[in-house]
Amino acid sequence: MKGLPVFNTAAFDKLKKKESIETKVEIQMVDKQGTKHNFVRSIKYIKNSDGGESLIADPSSKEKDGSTFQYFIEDGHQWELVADPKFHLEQIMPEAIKEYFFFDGERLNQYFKESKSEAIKQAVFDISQISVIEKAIKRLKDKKREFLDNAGNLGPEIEKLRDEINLRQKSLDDFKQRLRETKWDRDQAKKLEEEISEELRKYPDSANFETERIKVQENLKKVEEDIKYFKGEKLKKLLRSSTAVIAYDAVIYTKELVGKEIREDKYPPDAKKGFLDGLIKSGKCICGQSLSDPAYRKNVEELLKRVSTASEICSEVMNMQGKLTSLLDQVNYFDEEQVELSRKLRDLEKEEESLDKEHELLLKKIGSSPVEKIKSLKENFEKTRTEREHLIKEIGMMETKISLEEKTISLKDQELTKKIKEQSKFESVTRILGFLETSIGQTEQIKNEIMQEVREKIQEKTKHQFFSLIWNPEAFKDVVIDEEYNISVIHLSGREGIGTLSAGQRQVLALSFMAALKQVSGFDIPIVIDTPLGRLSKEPKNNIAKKLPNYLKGSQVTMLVTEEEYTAEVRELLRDRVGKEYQIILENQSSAKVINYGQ
Amino acid sequence: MANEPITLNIKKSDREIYNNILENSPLKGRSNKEAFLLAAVVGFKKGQRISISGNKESYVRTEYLNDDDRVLINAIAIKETEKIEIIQDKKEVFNIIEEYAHGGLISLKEMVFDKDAGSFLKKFEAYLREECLPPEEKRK
Repeated sequence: MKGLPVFNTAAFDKLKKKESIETKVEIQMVDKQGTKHNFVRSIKYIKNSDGGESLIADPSSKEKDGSTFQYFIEDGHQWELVADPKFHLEQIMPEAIKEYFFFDGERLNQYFKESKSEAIKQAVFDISQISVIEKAIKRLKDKKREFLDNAGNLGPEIEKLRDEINLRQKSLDDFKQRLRETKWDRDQAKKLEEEISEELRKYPDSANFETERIKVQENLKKVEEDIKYFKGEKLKKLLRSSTAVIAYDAVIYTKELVGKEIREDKYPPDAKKGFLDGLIKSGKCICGQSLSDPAYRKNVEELLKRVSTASEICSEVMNMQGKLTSLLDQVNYFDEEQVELSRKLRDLEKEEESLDKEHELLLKKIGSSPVEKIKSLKENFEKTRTEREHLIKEIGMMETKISLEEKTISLKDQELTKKIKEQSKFESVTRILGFLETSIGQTEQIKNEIMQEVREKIQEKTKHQFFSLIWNPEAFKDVVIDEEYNISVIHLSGREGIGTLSAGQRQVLALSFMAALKQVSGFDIPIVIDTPLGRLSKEPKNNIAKKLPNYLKGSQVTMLVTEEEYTAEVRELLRDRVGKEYQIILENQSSAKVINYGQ
Repeated sequence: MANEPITLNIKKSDREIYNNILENSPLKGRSNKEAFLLAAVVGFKKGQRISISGNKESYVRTEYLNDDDRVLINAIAIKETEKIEIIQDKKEVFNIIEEYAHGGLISLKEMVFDKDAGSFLKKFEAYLREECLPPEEKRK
């Protein structure tokens, strides 16, 4: 992934065409005897006419990037340039193990998550510094092959077997070379994957925001529908009671009037009407007077008419009395009903407002994230991961094939040696062959013993560091690195507990392992850790910070921390072991300055 | 019911206002009867009884009136005449309610089309609560 150039872009921008700029990094170390060692690496660029840059390679440089690398040692009051600086640096800090001295705490947490046994085996191999023994074994095997090739006439059968072994060995060597290349490709893919992942972390995840936005939008729609429904209900109920409420004066007046007139018995009961009806039908009054006289009959009929009217009013008034009570009930329940509906609506409107705000915020977030860039990064990430998974499978198959081929070659080798030994005329050949085989066997044994010893030492130191750093040592019993280079943290119950370690505990294990590698390597140089507390949350961060002063006592540790990591609490917890604090302040987009901080 | 008119009538020119209220106001979708009774009670509350001059036309079929509606109409007529017997004269009862509906329609129109802040629902509730609802201790 192409990043910014190594030079200061602000300074470069000020250059005129054809002017050059030099970037220099200088590291000064003081050894135990007080002698100062100065390592300086510099590189030059020139500004092209198109505004771009071109490297001005140092003609004497032995570096791939054409940079100048120098090593000065203080002699009295003078600096003396030392020849072959790379060789000297290798004595102080071998290239192969540099990653155990300068490491990224944030990535450390991943260390024991995947391919851990392979990483540990590689670390043990690197720290054991046994590449020279590996070279010796290879040289001895080459010598054996060379010796057999030049041993003269061994007979067709032996020569055929020897040639087959040589052919198989050559093919095996090629295969091993391919395996190394594939492993390199895999490591590169992993590195790229981590870089993309790092880049992705800089951007808010618009895809997640979009999913969240859709969810919020759906909730909002539902709340809006509820509001609409309850508003409708409220209006319906409001209108239903409104006429009675508005005309309350008329309703209450009528109810009182009706009540009063009923109490005063103003309306005749229905029986009176029936009685008068009976008199007219019988044609005789109760007093005995015949109703055949038209004047009498008219009187009774008029009375009946008045009584009928009164009776009809009476029936309607009686009916009204009950209904008026029902109307008044509507007035009385109006408050209760409306208050409940208003409360419900208020709650829904509040929810709508909050969802609306959330929706707006998500839209802003989506709008501000570079969707295309994120999409492309994700595609790259997926592609790289698929590629890496494919390479891992391929490596697995290659290793199986190599192992089988090595066994076949070993059997063929034994067969060849046996056939040579069977023939007394090859006595001298047998003797030399025996010597070479013994040498190979012995050297391999030495290699294995060293690796075992180093593994055991690393195990011991890791365990020691882990128990001095972990805030709950009582929960664990042991830390073990087995012969297959699998690391285990044994829980108090005796069960393997590495899979259940928290992020903070895993960080402690990784820091302990790195410290152990440093100690076992025998190289006593300072350690630099970038983001030592990674992305841990507050509690494990403080737990680790409390114990960090116990970390690598006697060694200088430089920690590059972010603001989120170096909180006031963490700072206070580390105070006793912090010698110097510097802060890098970004002044603007292109420049920053370093200031003394705190002390 | 004996002698009861079969419709409640409105002034011909009021129909447009009713139509506007029932098509374009928050009362959209409500019935003619609801709008008419609302106009009538608003008119009664405001004392706006205006006799209808000119052409009348039927607006609500009286068969759609339920018991509550009838009691309310009767109550307004009784209060207006201070006589219970008025309920025997349905023609007059309906006349009274028609005149109140005619008088109250403009106020109802102003109420539903009020452009001031706040929804009709809130304003109408406030109107009922603040101007119409008797204090709790007076409710019976």
